Amino acid sequence: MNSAIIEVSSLCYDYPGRRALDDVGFTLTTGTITALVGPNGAGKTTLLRCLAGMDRPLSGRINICGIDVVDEPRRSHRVLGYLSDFFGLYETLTVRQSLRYVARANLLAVSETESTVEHTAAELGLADRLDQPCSTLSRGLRQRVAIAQAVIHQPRVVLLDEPASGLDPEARYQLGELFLSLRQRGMTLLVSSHILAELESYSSHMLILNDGKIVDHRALAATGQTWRDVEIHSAGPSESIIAALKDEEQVTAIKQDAARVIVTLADTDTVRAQILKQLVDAGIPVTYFAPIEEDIQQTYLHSMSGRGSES
Amino acid sequence: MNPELMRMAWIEVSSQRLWLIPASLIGSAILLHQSDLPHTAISNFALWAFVVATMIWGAKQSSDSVRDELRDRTWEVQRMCALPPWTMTWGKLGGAALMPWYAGFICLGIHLSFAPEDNQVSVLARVSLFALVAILVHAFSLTVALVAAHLGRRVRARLNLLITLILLSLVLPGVSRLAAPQWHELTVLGQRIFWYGIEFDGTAFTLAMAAAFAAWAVVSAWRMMCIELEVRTWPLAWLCFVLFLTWLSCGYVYDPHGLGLLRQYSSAAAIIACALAYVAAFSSARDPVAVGRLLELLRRREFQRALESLPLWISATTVAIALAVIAATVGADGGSPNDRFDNLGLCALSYAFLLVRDVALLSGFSFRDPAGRADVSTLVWIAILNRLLPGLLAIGGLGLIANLIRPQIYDLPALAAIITLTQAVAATGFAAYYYRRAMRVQPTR
Repeated sequence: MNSAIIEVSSLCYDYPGRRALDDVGFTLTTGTITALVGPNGAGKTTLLRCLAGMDRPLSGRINICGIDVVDEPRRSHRVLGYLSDFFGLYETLTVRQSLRYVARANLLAVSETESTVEHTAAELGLADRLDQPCSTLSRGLRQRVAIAQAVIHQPRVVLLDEPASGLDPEARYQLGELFLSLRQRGMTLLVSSHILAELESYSSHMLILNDGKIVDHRALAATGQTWRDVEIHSAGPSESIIAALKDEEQVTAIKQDAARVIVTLADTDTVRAQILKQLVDAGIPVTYFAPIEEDIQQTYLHSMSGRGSES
Repeated sequence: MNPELMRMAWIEVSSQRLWLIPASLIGSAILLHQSDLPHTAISNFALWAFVVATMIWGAKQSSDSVRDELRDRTWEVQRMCALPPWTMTWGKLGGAALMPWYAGFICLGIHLSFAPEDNQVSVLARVSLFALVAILVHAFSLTVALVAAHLGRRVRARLNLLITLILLSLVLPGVSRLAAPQWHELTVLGQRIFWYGIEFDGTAFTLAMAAAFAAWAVVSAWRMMCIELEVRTWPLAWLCFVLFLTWLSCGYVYDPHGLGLLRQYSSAAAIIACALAYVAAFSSARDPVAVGRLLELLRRREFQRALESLPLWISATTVAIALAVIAATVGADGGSPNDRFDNLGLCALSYAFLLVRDVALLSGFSFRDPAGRADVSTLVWIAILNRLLPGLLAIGGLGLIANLIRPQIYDLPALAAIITLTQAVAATGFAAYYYRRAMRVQPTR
């Protein structure tokens, strides 16, 4: 079992006249990539800035790698990498100089700086660009340099705010591969994005924020999912399925959609087998019984429509 | 090597600059020399070139070391790094002004080469003074740029400070009556100066003062850097600066057998703290959320964190009130006029209450409309309350009411303290109303 690396509790952040984060609490475990999603103005950027120690919350606790970020934001920066949504680069410096500066500014020893710069550049596909000024790089490469700056000190946690915005599909795909390789290196990532389809390729968890509140936090892998919709067809009237399951404790919701019935069950084989047996025992001629494979977009939309469940 | 200094050197130092600057300066000196100008004129030209290079160019560079980061969106990279505030401060101060200092040292070399030989000590003293003033200017520029970064406004911070200082000196009641120490003596080189009854060499004293103020300017830049880098510190630097200015200014009016040192110190400290608190209030962000955070910490009895999170305008006002209470407790010397800055007694309380009133007005306007021009509104209201309204009432034969708005601080200090306290309470109520309104959470959807 992985240990908790980010622990947030009772986090509140106010802007004048508006509560941007309202009693937010969650825990992220080591080695995960969590997609932070939500509509515009949900509080994603504010949450990431609070986690990075850039903004001070009104109240609440943030603990990253055992460091209280609210109390010691500067100390937490040694274990944190953060990429802002509107980042900038030192245009007149070369990639090598930029990385060397950030490495030294993160207190890496002089003797290790050059090898770390070379190593990080190689991992981020920038090895052949090291002596190129940042001003001459494409959008995708600039993104890579910014991420290289955020991870050059080998942080244990990386926070990325809309890292894929403005990138073409190929660059986005490469970015996803890059995140997976950072995860392989033992880093825990929290990535905010509007592009849900892209998040699916690399995220292991999803954290949904709406109106400053956590709406849902779940694992995206099948084993970690708490609830699952099951589609049921019958040769008889579909009302009989509803009548047979309406008092069943394991069923949290039932919807009728034309000839099919969709029920929401706890996501385990045992529960599904038990429900199927119950229907057959009730004499209902079941012709189709299968869990609906939900993609991240459907999960998000379901959670936003108020059916979310806390992990 | 300091990483920030190293980065600034990469950006600032170029081979073209390295040869172009000496070539143009030395070339100009040779041209002037060839045109039969006296050595003194060439020496003075070099000194002025030093002023332009270090104080004007250098100040701009120091300011740009933060402004460019904000413009290019790299400030967050710096805020996320692990460099301590002091390393960042001196890295920026040294790195941004590398080329101005390079030019400045060449100018000083030319100045020394052509300076009259019989006055070398004076020349060295002048050069040292100019160098210290250049450091002061650089550090002050960096501080202002950091204040602007903190406020999120680039130009207005500097303008605000200037307008505030000018207008407050015009409209605050009775400030002009306070006898100021003879500050011009600070710049008198080669003369004698009396401070705390001791005779000092004017040159050495001036250099010491310039060094002290340069050091304070660097401390102020470091303090602002602490705020920007989210490094929490106790609000001691401000109190120490007030006490330093008190100690310095009391040295000029040293009178141990007349007013007494305690009276002089407490009175001077109160009025200096009040004046500086105005500067702090107008140049810092009056953020209702920061006040909310402070109240939340106090509610949770986390007093140390509350003290570390204290916004500058609140801590500066608190220091001023505390020092005014001490000055009032010590009291004024009945045999001496009480409109001197070293003998205020109860009058200090009136100044502190006026400060509270004005700071409360300023915060109230800021809370009412964070994007508006709270500072201008406040200055207008200070002018109305201190000058316009009492003046019009007096013309209309309503002198008694005029005195209730603008009390006679020196003639009736106790009554003035009560009137100003009432005004302060009313203004605080105004600020509290708009604070609550600003922090009332509105539904977002």
